[in-house]
Amino acid sequence: MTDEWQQYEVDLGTVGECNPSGVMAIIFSASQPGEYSFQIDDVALQ
Amino acid sequence: MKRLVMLACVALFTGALAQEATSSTLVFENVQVFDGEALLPATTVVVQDGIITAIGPDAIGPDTAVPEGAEIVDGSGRTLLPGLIDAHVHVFTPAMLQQAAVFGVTTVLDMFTDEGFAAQMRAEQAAGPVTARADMLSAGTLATSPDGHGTQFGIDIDTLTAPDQAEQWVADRVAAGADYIKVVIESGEEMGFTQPTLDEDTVRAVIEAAHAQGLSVVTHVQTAGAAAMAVSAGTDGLAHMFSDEVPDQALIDAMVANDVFVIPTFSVFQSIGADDPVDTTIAQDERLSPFLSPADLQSLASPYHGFEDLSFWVALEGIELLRAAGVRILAGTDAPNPGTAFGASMHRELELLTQAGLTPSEALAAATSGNADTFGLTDRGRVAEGQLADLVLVEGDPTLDITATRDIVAVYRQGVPIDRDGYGAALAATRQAAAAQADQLQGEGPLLVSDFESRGLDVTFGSEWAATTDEQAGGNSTAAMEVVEGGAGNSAYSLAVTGVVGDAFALPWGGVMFMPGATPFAPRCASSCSAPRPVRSRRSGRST
Repeated sequence: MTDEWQQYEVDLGTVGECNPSGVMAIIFSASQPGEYSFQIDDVALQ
Repeated sequence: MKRLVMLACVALFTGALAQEATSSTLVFENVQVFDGEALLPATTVVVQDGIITAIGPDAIGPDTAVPEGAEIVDGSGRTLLPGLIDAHVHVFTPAMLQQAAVFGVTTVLDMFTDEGFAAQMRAEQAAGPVTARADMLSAGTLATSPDGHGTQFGIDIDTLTAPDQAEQWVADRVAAGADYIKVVIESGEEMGFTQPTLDEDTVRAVIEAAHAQGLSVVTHVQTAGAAAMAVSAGTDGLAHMFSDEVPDQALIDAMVANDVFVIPTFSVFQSIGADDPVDTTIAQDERLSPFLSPADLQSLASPYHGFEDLSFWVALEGIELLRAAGVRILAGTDAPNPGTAFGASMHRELELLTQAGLTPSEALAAATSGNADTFGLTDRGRVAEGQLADLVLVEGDPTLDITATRDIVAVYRQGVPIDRDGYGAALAATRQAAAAQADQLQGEGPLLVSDFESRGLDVTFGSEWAATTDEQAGGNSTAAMEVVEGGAGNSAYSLAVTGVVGDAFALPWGGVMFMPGATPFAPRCASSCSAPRPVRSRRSGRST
């Protein structure tokens, strides 16, 4: 991630053992200990 | 800048519905009764205020009138059973208990969860009858080594390293309200890895301390060697049937001599071996499938795990040997592990017990009076006067065809019917909404979730954005969100997320969550269900 807006696309079928036919939640999170800050916009599924 | 991750598979479902008490008196007429041990010919059963008050052809007769306002239930061609008891589950939400009840499992014996959650469930049950869900007893936490089996689930565990810690450890479990003690012997070697495990002296010390406190002990094992150690150390029961080899005569003799019971948990082990197939019969059974959520179906289709050194058929043969020798065999599923579904899997477990040589009546007894007697539940497990009216009414005769337990007419918790129709209808609505959304995704271009231009947290489908952290798993991370000015592509607004990722949980997180299902945590098809295709979530993001 950067300080500028970037577009990311994630193929859910390639995320671990995720089965896209049974998605219950999509989480945007930080996972390294310490303070964090991020922004999201234009979230879409296709 | 922090790493941004996406998690997309969270297995929870909430949606069971309670049904208010409709009658304080129930009369089952002309109904066959499996009383917990044997089948009684068609008779009458009277329930008043949640208790079975009379059984027999004369329960209602010339000298005993049907109480005014009583609900009469026709039992013709049907069998009335004690509510089923699942002797091996892991409960993390009240919804799991609701689901269990829908399938006729009216009591569950939890073999490891969060102690605080177990205490909450106990408190609610002690405050008064909880009739919309199964009752829960629990070991709370489990006895294991640091980094040993059980520590991988993210629940804080008070681990042990030496025998002299056992007395205090058990005292702490007593203080936490444990109904029994769960001990783990698991080196992992049979599954192709190694992990720390308790030594025999520590296992023995925990068992002796538990017995001194009047608590029974159930021990997790997966190998004959671990089982022999558990029996030698004085365990009361085994939480699983081992599946690396069948028991030798010495182990069989020791189990018989010490009256050690076994909860095989065939449901979770039916796919454990390298060549063992995943069972599909539960998911395809039309008597059960209307009450299975998409998450249940996903779990039932998941193998556990395909280990070279283990075999379901070895476990099955082992139980056949133990049963022939007179070892007590109990019924438990290990739900919600992969390959299982809460409640529903008990019906598969009963069938698998018969494949291991138990008669249908023995399998039913294992799931009712056997579990009740073993765990000291004197108020349930039987259809008898004075017992709680935790009952399952099924079509047919499960002592002839064990799968008749799946053909449920009604389930009662202390005389109050479980709203199975409402539960099924809620699931159907969820499926319908998911299908409609899937149709939307079939269209051209992306389906917008949020652009935040309304300056709110609203979404075009699913549940609106919510903060999420590892606090729910015992962590100390924080998260706050706010719609702020300035967005991608010079749009007016975006969602800013700030917080601190803590270090109290092994896999910490802090951020925001979007749930695409029709109801919170209901699963949703994020691809075309009829014609699967890769799905992409497009995201614009930046760090600050």
